[in-house]
Amino acid sequence: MQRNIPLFLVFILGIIYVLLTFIETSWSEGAVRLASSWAPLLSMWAIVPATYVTLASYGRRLTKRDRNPTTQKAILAGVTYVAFFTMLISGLKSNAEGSLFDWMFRNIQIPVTSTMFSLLTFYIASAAYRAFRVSRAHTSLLMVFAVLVMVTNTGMHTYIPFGQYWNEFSTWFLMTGNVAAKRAILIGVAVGMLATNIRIIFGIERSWMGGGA
Amino acid sequence: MLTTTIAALLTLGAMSLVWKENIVSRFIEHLILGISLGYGVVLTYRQIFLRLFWVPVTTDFAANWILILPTLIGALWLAQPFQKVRWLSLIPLAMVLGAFSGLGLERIMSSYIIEALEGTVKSLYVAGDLQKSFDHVVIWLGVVCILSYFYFRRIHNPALEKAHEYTRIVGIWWLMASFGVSFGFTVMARAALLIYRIQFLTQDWIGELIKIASGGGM
Repeated sequence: MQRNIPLFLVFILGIIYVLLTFIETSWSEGAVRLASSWAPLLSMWAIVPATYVTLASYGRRLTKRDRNPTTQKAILAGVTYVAFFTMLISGLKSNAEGSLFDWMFRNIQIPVTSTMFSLLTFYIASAAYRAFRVSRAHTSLLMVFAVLVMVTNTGMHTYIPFGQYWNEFSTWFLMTGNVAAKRAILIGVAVGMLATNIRIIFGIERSWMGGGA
Repeated sequence: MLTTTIAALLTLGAMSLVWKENIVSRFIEHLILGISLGYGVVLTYRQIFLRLFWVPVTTDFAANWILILPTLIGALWLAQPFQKVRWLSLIPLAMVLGAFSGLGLERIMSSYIIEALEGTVKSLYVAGDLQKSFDHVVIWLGVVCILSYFYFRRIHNPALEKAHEYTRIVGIWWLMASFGVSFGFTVMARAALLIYRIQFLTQDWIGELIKIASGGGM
């Protein structure tokens, strides 16, 4: 019974908003605007349980109540706590330029996250190496086009024979062949999204409710 | 200089993960988790709670009192950690999901499917421009072949079956070529970021340290 209330709400609102998109009046447009303005207010509180769950999980490590308690884990959990509360308290106080919150964002968060993203180069290369070891014709083609794009976009094509032609072909493929693939993928994704939306509205898709519903 | 040194040491610590997981990289992981979490909470508080709710309601209550309603319903999210009343937290989620699933149907149709199809099938022949006509035909062929690979496993029509076999093969090859392009761009983007980080270490940090050591000033 309790789980039927959210399902009923999804169904009713889903049907109402499908109908509203096909009615062009000022009040239907107002209702669409209402959905856009209400959505952030309805969703913002989700940050509270999300933060609570994360901190509770690290809190177990901090107090050595997890499965394999070690001092190192407890210290690292403490680092998470200190970083979180420092960021929270300083951010609530002020987020202006020059504040502690701004300093931590600029000098810790940005350098570390951009370094972590840049390190993906190595992981992509290693994953690609393992994939190409399967060495099927398809993956070879993928490799050829990847190298072609990298060579022509970095200007290295000037050092290889017929470089100008490779560059022209690469540009042409980006404008035509790649556009075709992107459009086909977009159509495929859109049909999938349509099906998922319909499944959600009619209560067939219930994974959003969690708990293996 | 102290700030740059801290950022550089953290960058080096994060980079050490490539060699193998170590205490420094784990320290940085935990540090960044706490900072990101704090950043998320502060951003939600300032950008949504204050900007979209508190300021409008306190400045013009008569016009914006209705905003109290979604804020109160949204507060049902707080029931999430409690097993017995967890279902209440599904109510705000259901409202957002229902409204946007309904709104999405028309938008997906118009912005994704119809627009993509329109761009593909119109003007296959462009008068006086053979190159453009050829390009349009190539795009059309690519879309048809890839879609036939996506949607048809087997066609139970002898006349079409053979054609489908070919379009399917072309579709797979086409997709792999396109994935290659995406792969190349992804690697390039990451490599550019890595170069930027190395530049930061060598120029902004070590370069400045050398200048200071050689008496070049701060």
